[in-house]
Amino acid sequence: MNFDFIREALPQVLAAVPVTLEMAVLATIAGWILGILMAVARRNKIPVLSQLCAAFVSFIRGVPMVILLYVSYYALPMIIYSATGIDATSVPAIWYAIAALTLDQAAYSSEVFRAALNSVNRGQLEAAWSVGMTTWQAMRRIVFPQALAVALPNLSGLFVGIIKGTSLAYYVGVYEITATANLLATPGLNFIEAYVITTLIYELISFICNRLFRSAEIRLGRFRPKTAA
Amino acid sequence: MMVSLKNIRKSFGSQQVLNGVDLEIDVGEVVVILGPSGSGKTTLLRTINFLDPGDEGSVTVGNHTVNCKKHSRPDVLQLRRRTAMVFQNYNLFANKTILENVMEGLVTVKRRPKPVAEEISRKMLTRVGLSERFDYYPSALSGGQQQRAGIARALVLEPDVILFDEPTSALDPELVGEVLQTIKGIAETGITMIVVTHEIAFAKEVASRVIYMQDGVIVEQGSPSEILVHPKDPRTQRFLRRITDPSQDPKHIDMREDSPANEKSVPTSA
Repeated sequence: MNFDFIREALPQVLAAVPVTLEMAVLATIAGWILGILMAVARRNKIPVLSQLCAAFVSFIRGVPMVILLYVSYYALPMIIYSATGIDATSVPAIWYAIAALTLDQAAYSSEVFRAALNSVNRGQLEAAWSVGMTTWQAMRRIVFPQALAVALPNLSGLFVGIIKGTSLAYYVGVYEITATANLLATPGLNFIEAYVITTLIYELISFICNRLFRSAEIRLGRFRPKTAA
Repeated sequence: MMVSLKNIRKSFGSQQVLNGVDLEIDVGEVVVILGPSGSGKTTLLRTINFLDPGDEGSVTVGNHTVNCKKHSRPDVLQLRRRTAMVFQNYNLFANKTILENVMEGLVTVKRRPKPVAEEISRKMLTRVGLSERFDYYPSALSGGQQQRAGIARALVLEPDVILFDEPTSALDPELVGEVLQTIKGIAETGITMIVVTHEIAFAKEVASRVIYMQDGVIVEQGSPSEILVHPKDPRTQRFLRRITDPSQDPKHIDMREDSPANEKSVPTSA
């Protein structure tokens, strides 16, 4: 084990952490918003839209993440060019990676949100209507908070998954944690050392995220029976 | 006239549930609706606040009339803001404390400032005997306590009419009494109430009018003694015989409600 290499490389790999987090956080925010919208469309069985969402989810979940990245990186600029005439090749690769990760998060999270929304019994929605609340008020104040508490353990898994997923952005040339470590390892063939560093960093990020989600889960789930905690 | 239903018809798929129901209810009346399961009594109640909109007919509460065939969203909202409902399964908001449950309508619908809403809600909960439970979540309460909170949530909005949908059917037998006592106390304040129930004794004691429904129509109606003691229609007579002494009728199993509480108490001899 080359400890000198580790000492030198560690700060540089750490410097790439913000790139990883930027991709993960942006893809998560956009993906989960899309996921919620799709879940609502499917739960309310909105014609056409509901079927389109189901097809989208099935399609995205059937494609390996790497392929999704390649399609986003190579095909999206062509599509944009032929549709609008705008040359999108100068857009940094990270945005194509974020687009692919967003689609992935949207598909997987919509299933999580759909199950969570279904877990809130319809009776509460009817009760909200019966006191004169609008559907939006009922969703915002009664249904969504409960659904979120149910969804959180799975969302936590999705978020940690996407952090690891960002490592694939390496293939389209985004210098996040994995790509940076590889780059530093190549001249001296210090691959083992580089992967030890990346492993530790990913583990640490995952650990912190799991903790944050867990405490959010406890806060949002206060209303549940103590035995189910 | 407080509530007026005209020619309400409703079907679920090919199943005709309400076959043209007309009903007029005066201010301060306590109307109890009885009938076997599948008679349409709960559906009738739910057409009043459009949780199940009728296919035909019209609903009037106070001076607000809504046509079932062409109702707009604001129309329905108006109607719902003049009524309140107490549900068989309580349907309390699980993510809110008992106090927040009662405050919810006051704050979001009636736009009362929070401190005002809170004070009114505390008084209402005290009235239904839950002064020790303000900050409990529904999951920490017994069925009877949850249902009394549900009653407080309905009552606090000062609706023109309160709709009770089998309010004691899901309760353990020993908890039925406390809820019926609470409802009786409210009835004495003069608020208009429509109660769908199987509690004959309660109907006798509290109702100003009893309605017997079967097969989506009102079979007969009148004072408690007219309907419960001297029913004229053979269908009412048969129903009362079955419900007061199920063991006398081999078909009693058809009469049960599919609620957990009743399921337990019905012998499974069929």
